[in-house]
Parts: sequence; C-alpha cells; structure tokens
Amino acid sequence: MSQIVKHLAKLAALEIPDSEMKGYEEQLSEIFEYMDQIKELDLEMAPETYRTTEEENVLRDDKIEPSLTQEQALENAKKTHEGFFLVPAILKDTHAS
Amino acid sequence: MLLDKSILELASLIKNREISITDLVKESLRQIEMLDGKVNAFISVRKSEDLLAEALLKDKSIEAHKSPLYGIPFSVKDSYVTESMITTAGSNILKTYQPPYTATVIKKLIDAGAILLGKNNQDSWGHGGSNENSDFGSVKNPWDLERIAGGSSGGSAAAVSSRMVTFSIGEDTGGSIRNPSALCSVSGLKVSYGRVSRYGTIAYASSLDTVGPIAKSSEDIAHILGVIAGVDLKDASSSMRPVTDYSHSLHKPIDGVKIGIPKQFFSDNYSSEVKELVLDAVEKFKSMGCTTVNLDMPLLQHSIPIYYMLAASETSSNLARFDGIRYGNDRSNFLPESKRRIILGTYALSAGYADKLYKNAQRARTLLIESYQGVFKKCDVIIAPTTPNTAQKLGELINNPMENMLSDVFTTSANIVGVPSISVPIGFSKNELPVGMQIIGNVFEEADILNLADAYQSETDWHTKTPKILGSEND
Repeated sequence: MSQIVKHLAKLAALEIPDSEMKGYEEQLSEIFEYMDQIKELDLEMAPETYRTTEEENVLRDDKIEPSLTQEQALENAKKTHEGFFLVPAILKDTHAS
Repeated sequence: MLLDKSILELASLIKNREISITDLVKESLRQIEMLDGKVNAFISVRKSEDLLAEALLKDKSIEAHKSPLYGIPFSVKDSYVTESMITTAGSNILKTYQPPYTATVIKKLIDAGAILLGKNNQDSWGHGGSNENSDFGSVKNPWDLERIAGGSSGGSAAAVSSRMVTFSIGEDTGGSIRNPSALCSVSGLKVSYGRVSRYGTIAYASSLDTVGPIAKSSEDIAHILGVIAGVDLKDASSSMRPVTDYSHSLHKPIDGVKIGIPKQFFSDNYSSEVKELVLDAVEKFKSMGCTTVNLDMPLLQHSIPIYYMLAASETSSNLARFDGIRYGNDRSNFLPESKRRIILGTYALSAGYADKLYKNAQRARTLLIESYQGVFKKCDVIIAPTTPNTAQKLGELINNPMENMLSDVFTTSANIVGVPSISVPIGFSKNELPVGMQIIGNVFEEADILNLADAYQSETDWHTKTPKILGSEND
C-alpha cells in the first residue's frame, strides 16, 4: 500500500511527509476498499456518460475578442522575466561543465 | 430586524423610502461585526467605507431601478472570483490571489443592483461536508456554536442563517449547498447542471459543479434565480434553454402532484428522527392534495462511490493547475482532505485502474440517469432527507474521512444525474437542531420544485425560525 500511495503522490506532485505516511495509508486503504464496490456493480456494459449538458461543440467565431492583458495574466505570478512566467528548470543543462 | 425580511418586503420598503439601502447595509455590517467573530462565516468582508459609499450612491437612484434585488446585501462562497478582491477557495494556496476578472454570477447580481458584502468561508476547493476543512478556521453553526455548519458552502449558509446578509451564492457538487442549508435551517437550491453559468467558479468537479442561491425562503430563491440563470457564452456548458419566470411560477396549485418516495432513502440505516420529520412533511403535502408513489431505486445505494470516483478524478485533474507558478502558493499547502481526494482521483484514473473505477462510475452514471428518467414518468418530484444526521459536534467528521463521505448519501445522485433539488427546513430534532428535506425535480424543472417548496413554506413556519445568537435583535 505504501508503494501505491507514494507512486500516486508522485503522479499528483504531492509531498506526503514520512511522519504522515502511515495515517494516509490507513485512511486511503479504507477508502479504496469502500470504492472497490464500483468494480462489482452490474453495469450491463452501459455506455459511459461524461457530462449531462445538452449542448455540444459550443464554438464561437475565430475572431479576436477582448481578453486579459499580458500584465493582468502575469500579475499573480511569483516570478516573471520580461513578460514570461518563470518556471523551475525541468531540463538538465547537458553542456554544463 | 431588516435582514429577517424577504426580498420582496425589502424591495417594497426601499421603493417607498421607508428604509434606505444605507440602513440595510449598516445592519448587515453590524450583524457581521457582532456575530462573525463567533460564527466565522466570512473569509473577507469589503471595507465599510466602500460599502456605505456604494449604498449612498444607490439610495440616490432608486427610481431608475426595477430589480427587487436592488440594494440587497449578499455574499458569495469564496470559490467565485472577484476582480481585485482576494479569492481563496478556502485554501492557503490562494491566500494572496487577486483575480483579474469576476465570475458571471456575481456580475449579474451586481448589475441587478445587489450589494456584495464579502466572501464566505468554505471547505477548501469544495472538499468537505462540514466546513472544517478550511485554512481559515471552521464555520460554527449559528444554532449551536460547538457544532458544524455543514459544507462545503458552510459560510454561505451560516451567513444567511445568522442574518448577516439576505442571501449568499454557494456552490453544490455533491450536496454543498443543500447540506449546510439543512444544518443551518435555511433554504438552498442546487440547480440543473448548466442552468447557471460557472464562468469564474474555481472548479471542483467540472461535470458536477453547480452555482446556486442560499436564502431564507423558496420565494427569495426564485427572485435570485431569475437574475442568475441563463446561457453564458463564456461557459460552454451553460444551457441555452430559455430562463423561466421563476417568481411568477410560484403560488400555483399543487393538488394532484405526485411525490415519489425512494425506499432506499428511508431505510433503517438512517436516523429515525430525520426520517420521521421528512415523512411528516410528506403528510403535509398530502393534506394539500398531493399523492405519493413508492419507489425502488437500488442504484441510489451506490451514489457515494459513484460520486467520489467521478468527483475525485475530476478534482485531481482540475487542481493540477495549482502549481504555484502562474498564481498561488505551492502544492505543499493542500490540506490532508484535499490530498486524499487528489490521490483517490489519481488512483481512479491511473493505468490499470481507470477502466474498472473511473469508467465504471461513468457507466453507473448512465444507469442512474435512466433510473431517474424512469422514475419521473411515475411521479413529478422525489422527496428525500437532505442529510442523514443533524449537525455533528466540531471535530467528529473531520477526523473520520469515511463518516464525512457518508453524509453525502442523499444529495450526490442529483449531481451525478444533473437534476435540480431544493433543501428546505422542516423542523428540529429533540436536541433542537435543524433538519432539512429535499424536493428533487426533473431537469430544468426548477419552477416546479420552487413552487412546491413555496407551498410548503406558506403552510409551515420552520423557515422563519432564527437561532438564539440573534438574541433580542428580533424586533
């Protein structure tokens, strides 16, 4: 179970401190077990319903309309650089010596 | 007390200049000042100078405005963005977030002249049924400050219940408007999916989320719904169906209305006290000429796992945007309940499990929709309790995730299927705690359920009762 929780936490970019891990495992174990009843339902292989809207493919004309300014879009970011969002590095610099 | 009056009464007093909008806003601010230290219904309140300036301005142009909402004080759950006003969704992740835009529902209400007092406390991201899962402290039930207000729109319900505002806009994904409305003895409407625009709502589960009003009566709700319902080009899921004139659809005769009673919701597993009060209410409807139909809906027993599989999956996806880069603080700020739901959702969607969990939930959804459609051929509405229990003491549910989930048993199927449901107060338990019942209708039949709720409220006075903390304010 702890491997599963660690793996899921990694997928979800969530950190669970080691001290709390046991608590999460216990609670999630109980929850996962309860949710497993979904696997047992006789669903007659009914089609899936993803949404309950009646509308489909609601599109608008491909015309430029008023939107956020660049300034507004950036105003809540902690780090920006010359009009861009600054993000943590995800690629290693292979040319670094 | 002005804030104990209905929207129509207030509109009339304002129009006839028997009271001013300034009087109303002053009373709202006084109520908040006196009671919110104890209730904790608000995360933020607008500055009184700004509110009084707005009220003064509105007092000067009363003749020009027709809407009964003109000058009426309201609040909104803090999951609705308000331009340049901090919007948190109840979480430290957004503790300093100032949105660059305003939610459509708020815009519509402001355009009608209503006055926004502030942002209500909530379970973070909508994750909860007790309003204890908030980074801004728990909301206390105005009827007993040692008990929960319900959730996740606990702050909204508590604000209306303690007469701080005339109405609040909550948000309902699995019962989050109806649950706290029942526990706080106010009326709350979950609309049909798509009836009210979700543009500007911080999303929990996009196929389940609905925007709706909490107020003192079905009549008030009808007036509010008339303003907020309707298609919005900015929300592609909003319905293009024309908006009914809800307030004029009230006071229609209800004799002959067929009320469905699903046996699964009245089993011995649930509190007999709550059950009995709901059945009393059904008797009331029968005395007014309605008939009842017994229903057998076995799939209802599985509403909770179906709901949680869908909601957790969708929230794990929706909350991925909170990476602390474009806005907000980093993900270490998520509270344990939200982490649990995200992990559950990730599990339900992960390779090897998605077919048996998430997709099965979507298949079950199809069957539940068919089940409801079949039922609505036999009856006009369904009546059910809103919550299985009255308000628990603070600390009980938040420390018991399973118990917390199970309090959604009566409310979740309406979200899964997309039908409207209103919760109204129907009395009190032996230890004087509020109990609510739901009237669930077919898609886009808000007018019918509002009419029935209004008929019930014309013959009973549960919805007029106020909590003791209001003290001698009741004059």
